[in-house]
Amino acid sequence: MDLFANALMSVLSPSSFFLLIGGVGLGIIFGAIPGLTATMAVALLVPFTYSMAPAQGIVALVGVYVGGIYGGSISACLVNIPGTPASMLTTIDGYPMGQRGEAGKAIGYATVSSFVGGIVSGIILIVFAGQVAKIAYKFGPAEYFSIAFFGLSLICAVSGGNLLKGLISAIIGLMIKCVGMDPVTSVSRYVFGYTSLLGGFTFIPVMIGLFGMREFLIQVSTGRYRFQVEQRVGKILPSLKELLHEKWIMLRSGLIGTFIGILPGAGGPIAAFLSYECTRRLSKHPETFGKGEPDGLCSSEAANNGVTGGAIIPMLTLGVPGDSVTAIMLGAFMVHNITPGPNLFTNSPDLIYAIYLGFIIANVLMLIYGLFGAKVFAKILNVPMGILLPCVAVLTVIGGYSIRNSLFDVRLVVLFGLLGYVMSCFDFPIVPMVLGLVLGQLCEANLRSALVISKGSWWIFFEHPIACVFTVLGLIMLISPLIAKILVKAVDRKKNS
Amino acid sequence: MKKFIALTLAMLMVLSLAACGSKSNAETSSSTGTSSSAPATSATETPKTDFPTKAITVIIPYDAGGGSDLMTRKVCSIVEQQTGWTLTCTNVPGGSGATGYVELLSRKADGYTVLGCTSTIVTLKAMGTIDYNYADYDVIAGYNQEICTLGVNADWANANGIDTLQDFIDYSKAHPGEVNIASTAVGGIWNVDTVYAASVVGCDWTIVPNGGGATQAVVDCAGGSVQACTAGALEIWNQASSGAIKMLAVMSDERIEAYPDVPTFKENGYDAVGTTTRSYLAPKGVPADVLAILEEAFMAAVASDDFKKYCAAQGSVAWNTSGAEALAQYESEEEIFAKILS
Repeated sequence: MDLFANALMSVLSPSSFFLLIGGVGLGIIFGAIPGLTATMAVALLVPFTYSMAPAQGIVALVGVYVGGIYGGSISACLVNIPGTPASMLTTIDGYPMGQRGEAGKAIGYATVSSFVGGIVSGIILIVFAGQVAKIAYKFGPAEYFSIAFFGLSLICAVSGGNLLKGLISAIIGLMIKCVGMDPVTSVSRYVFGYTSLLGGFTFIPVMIGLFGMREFLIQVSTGRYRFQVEQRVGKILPSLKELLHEKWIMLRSGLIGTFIGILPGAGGPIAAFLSYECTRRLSKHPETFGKGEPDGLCSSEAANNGVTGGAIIPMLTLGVPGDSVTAIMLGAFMVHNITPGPNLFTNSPDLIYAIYLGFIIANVLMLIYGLFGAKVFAKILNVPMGILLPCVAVLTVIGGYSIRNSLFDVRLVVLFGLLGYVMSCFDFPIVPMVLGLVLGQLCEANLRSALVISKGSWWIFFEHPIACVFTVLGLIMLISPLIAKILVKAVDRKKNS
Repeated sequence: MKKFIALTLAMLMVLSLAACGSKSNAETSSSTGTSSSAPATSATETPKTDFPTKAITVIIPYDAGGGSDLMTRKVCSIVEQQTGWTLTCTNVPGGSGATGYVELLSRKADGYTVLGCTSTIVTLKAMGTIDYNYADYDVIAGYNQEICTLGVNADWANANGIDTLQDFIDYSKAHPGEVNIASTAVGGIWNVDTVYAASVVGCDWTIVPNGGGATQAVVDCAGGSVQACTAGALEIWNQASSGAIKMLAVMSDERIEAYPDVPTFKENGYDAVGTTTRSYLAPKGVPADVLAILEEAFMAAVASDDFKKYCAAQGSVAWNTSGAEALAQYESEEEIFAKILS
């Protein structure tokens, strides 16, 4: 109890609290601007934490993390551009809602879902960190591959109705993932001598191009920007009743997000996707998804904030980062000569409690920022698109450059923007392509590692219990539409005969 | 009126893009403002050479927040403290450092652009990924060595009576092909070191490359998917301290200060030394006097207590060497790596 009181004092001390408020706010801003991401915000802030006490500095980073992941939903809902990769799935339902004139509602849903997701993961972090971290140990290459395989099998669903085009899009994503140094043998594939491509197509510029630049091109070419959507002026936020209607979805998505966050190597986009899928398939009205359905929006946002608490668990308990942001936070620990890992709980319990508290308070601050800011954010859509879009375009270019200080990446932004535009002209959905990119990474490296371990035997994916579950689920997902078709045809034939 | 506003806004956007585009200009213009004290302090050792008069750019060919990035920044901050120079670190990640290495070659060899590298400067050319290696650069000074370490899953080791390195080697020889060692991707330093160790020790280990890097390899070992793993000392130590992994041996010349109980391969009679060597590089052709000033400054920073403590906490070795010594180290590493990687 003493420790708790100490931690409370340190986190609520004026300087720390101020840092936390600033951190969350900064995170939201970075997350909301397309082109700047939560990861970048944390990376930029780490040097500033050198001079602070460890508890202060790391708690500030946690605040930026929480705010950043939430911030991505704002631009996702307003301009159909995910501010950070984790908010990709939020564009699917958030943007149509905004286009209906309900941007404030969309942001309100996103805020509350993010809050619930974050708190759920926070509770699991505080109460179960030790036990739950052991899950990370149980996931070896076979298990990771099976999850990635399962994810790929679900991709059909975010195809917006056209299964074939969705699959083609996903396969293009997988093929794009193959460019670069092979993750296992380090052989250069399809690099054509461009050293900038050795690491593959840099993910953020690709995402920025596919969503941001493409949106810009679509709006300009169709002239859509000339039409202003009237935003509701009256009740801007969703009512309490509407929010409570989503409570189970938020809780469940938060749990899915936490679980995925705990797995090192799987992060926001995968969690949001799996949770979105889960909600859609369990829903009584799956056809409304993709047209501004609050269920979809809430499940995506709750999941991606659920990842934040989940990712902190392996970082603290095992010294292994749960996602890209926590990887950078690990570095911040090192700078203060603190080694996260099993020893951290015995050596620096005060730091642990400070982080727990800071995390919860950061989520509360995010809720406050979001609810009060929703009206302001929604007003952004009142700015004529003709002015807003060029600003967004400039930001995407700057964002693409800033990842690696590379003009090559800026060319990637433009290239993928054009690719995304062409795809849209032919009604190919782009979310499956990005998911193919994200899941492809997980899939290929782990497939090959697993096969090395099993000396080439494919049975390894059925021998390991966890891997078996996901592999079988994935196979079912893939085959069931086919079987359903055959059955329907058989039933029809019977009826007609 | 509307057209005029539109035109003005467009011009502003284009100008702002141009300003952001010329990065090096922006850097020097902002830093000459802050480094007004630099010329005064730098002229103490060699009164004839007026270096540096402006900020020095340090390219870090790895992602921000990673181990190499933090270490390079640490040394830079110590150099800044000691000399009053301004060092601006910028990340140019990609291809295990390849992108950054190639980028450095396009800069002028005047001493104002340097790069913090690892042993990938040797392996990348040996693998055929890029056409350049350490011989195409001026090596300024070495600053750190990280040691390849072998760990085994504790439960598996206990079940098979494996307590020491020799036990492990005996078991591996008795069960050829059975032991899986998780490591980094092929061509990665720890992977190459493991192959080298296998050849020295004479064991038939199956090396499992892990696309998720050394940290994931260690977690796989701790979880039991593989029996053993190789990674940097700190990564193995993290799991060893919780009892999930047994830290068997390190591939260095002497025992690491931070882990005095862990023997070396050499002590056990196996001359396997595997390290990743970090040093500072500059494009080839930097004037000798400028090179000497840089070398002195970096070596002084590495010799500082601050840096030594930092390295000890990381389980790596502060390696205070001159440019010539670092170059010799890379040459000897190449002999080992080239054999394995070709």
